[in-house]
Amino acid sequence: MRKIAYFPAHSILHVLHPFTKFILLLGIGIMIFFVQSAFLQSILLALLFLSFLLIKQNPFLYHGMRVTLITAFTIALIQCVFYQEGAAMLQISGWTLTDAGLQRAVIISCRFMIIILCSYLFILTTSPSDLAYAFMQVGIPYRYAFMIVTSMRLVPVLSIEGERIMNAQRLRGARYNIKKPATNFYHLTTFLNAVLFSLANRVDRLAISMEGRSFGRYQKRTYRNLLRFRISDVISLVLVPAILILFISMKGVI
Amino acid sequence: MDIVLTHFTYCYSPGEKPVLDDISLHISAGEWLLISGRSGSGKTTLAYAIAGILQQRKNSLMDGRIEIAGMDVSENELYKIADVVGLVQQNADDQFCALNVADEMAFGLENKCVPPDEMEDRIRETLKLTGCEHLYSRQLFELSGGEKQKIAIASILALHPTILILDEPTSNLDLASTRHIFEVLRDLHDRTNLTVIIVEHKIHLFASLFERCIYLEEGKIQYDGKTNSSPLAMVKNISFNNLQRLSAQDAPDRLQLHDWTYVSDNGFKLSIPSLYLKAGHIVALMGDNGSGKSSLLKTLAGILQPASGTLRLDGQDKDSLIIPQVGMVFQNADEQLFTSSVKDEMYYALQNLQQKDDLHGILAHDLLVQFGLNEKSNLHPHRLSYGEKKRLNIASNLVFSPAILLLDEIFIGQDGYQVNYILERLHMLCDQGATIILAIHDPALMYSIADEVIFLENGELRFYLSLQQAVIWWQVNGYRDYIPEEAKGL
Repeated sequence: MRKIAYFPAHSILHVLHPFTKFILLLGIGIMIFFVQSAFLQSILLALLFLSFLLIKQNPFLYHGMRVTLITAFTIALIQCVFYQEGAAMLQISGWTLTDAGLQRAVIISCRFMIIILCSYLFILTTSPSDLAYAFMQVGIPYRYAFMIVTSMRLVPVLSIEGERIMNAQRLRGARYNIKKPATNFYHLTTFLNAVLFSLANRVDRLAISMEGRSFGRYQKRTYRNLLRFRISDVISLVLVPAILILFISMKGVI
Repeated sequence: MDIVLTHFTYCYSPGEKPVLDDISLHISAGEWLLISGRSGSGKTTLAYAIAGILQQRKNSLMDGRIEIAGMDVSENELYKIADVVGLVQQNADDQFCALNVADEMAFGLENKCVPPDEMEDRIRETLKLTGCEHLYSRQLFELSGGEKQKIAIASILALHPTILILDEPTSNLDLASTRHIFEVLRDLHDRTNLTVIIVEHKIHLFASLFERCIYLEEGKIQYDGKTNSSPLAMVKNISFNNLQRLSAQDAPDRLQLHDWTYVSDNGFKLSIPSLYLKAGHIVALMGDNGSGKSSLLKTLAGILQPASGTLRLDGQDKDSLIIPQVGMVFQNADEQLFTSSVKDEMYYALQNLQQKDDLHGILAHDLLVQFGLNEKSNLHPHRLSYGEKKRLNIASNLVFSPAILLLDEIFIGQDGYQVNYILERLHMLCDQGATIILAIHDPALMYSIADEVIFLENGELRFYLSLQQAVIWWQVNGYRDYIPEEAKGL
């Protein structure tokens, strides 16, 4: 299984401006709730799976996809079992599958899958630094935009450090035992003590590094890599909402 | 740009002993200066004071002045001082603000509003200067320790500082990388009149490269002068001699490894066909950065899962070693401090093992005294200096007398005196029959302490030989960086 993280490439999704992708992610996430046709939701889901071909990745090889599928299936099953309005399609020993129940199952599970797949595509094709730069370019103060970059820097570090500290603790004889809550509490306290101090020291040194390189010296800053909006961004920002609006307007038709 | 310190005194908090005590100093523009001294003597604090970092801290006490080209450091914001002073921190990872090399190089230039075209030129030029052109498109997490350190230095050099301060820039590097970094800095200094101030412990390796050395002791300047003068020579000669001891050649095998392999997520493979380590011996684990030293230690301690292999301890098969059979000291001191006082830290493992008794209490006290930590036994461990934290890590492992002690670069941040105290304790543990495996870069230290040497190269076991045979192997095969000065004439 692969970790979901940005990988550099030159696909059409990679070269889109990060802000375009961010707007599309938000837009799809909201507008998908207004598409009421199971058939159209299924088409959108299929299109998203096809988008993975554009970046030459298999979505099923990534961490979390199995859990996503199981969750989507469970949601669908619950709808099928408990939603009893509409015409009966199938009856098995007292339980009835209705057409409305099936439709709701497809709509809700597809909606869930679409939001997750969009997030996957966004993360896989957008460099966190570029995203921060994109926010700065659209006018968000760089002191705030850099919070994204620094948290992206520190979150994996914190996870690795937590693991190392847990190992160090184990090497000094600490054993978590379900039958001894007091001991667990003590070990947890010592673990958090080490993690927090380690993180605080890191943050302190990072702040020194940032200020020591003139961070905050001026209100504005220049950018090495000025991200430009291209024609593909304009097309995406017109085409994707247009398709969604069309699908929303087809309520009751399909 | 001259740097002038006038009666500068600094305390981290009121009521504490000053870390820097009445320091008066004049550093001329273009000097190539070494700041050295005992562990906890105030070297890093002095470097941070010159870089203007201490002056930003609240709740500290400060007296006296520091001026850089007439500018009072305490009256200016850090980013203004950063216009002239560049600081390279000890750990490159702590310094990185971006995720890839190009962004990291650009970070300071962007803050200084350098135009993009000029920025690109400066980045390329600095990467070329430091021999890192090929790293331009790489992600920072992919780089080796040596490459990270070079990028940390390059990202500061790109800002064209007039004063460059480096805090133990080579502490995690092998000798070849260390030498290259010093050559780059020396070349830059000679060509641009850059003032270079380096905080470094390894005087015995590098003192001859410097024109002037300041030696600190307990926050005061003990020596300020040429590096070839007799007072400094005395300090340099606190070397690790007279510590060779006779280890029993007929000692029983303590640890046996067969077909021991490990494969990391990024495809790095460690392969040890077989290894027999004797009880009561100290084994130096040598190799360049990225050769697999840390991976070997971690697989032995059960932190990393080996892909294959068998491990036998005192003739018995084991999956991995566990406390109290094994003790391990990691590279990063902060990750091994759990309690709220130095004293409690010594008892942490004993308490977990339910071995907290009077005898161990005496041993803990004895270790704290010898490692210069007894007076700080009630302090929070995170209030200690880096070198002191490392010593506390070592002491808190020695206190439960493990049969196998795994040590990963434990001498970072230690002065010659402290190194000798640590060595003495390691020998005492060996005399009780323990086997010590010590990952190390310094050949002089290796020569003074090791009975045998394991040499790794790109994850492969090159040899496991006695110390003398190892030196001969390196001589014959042209690995000059691994041969200590004392052995070069042999």
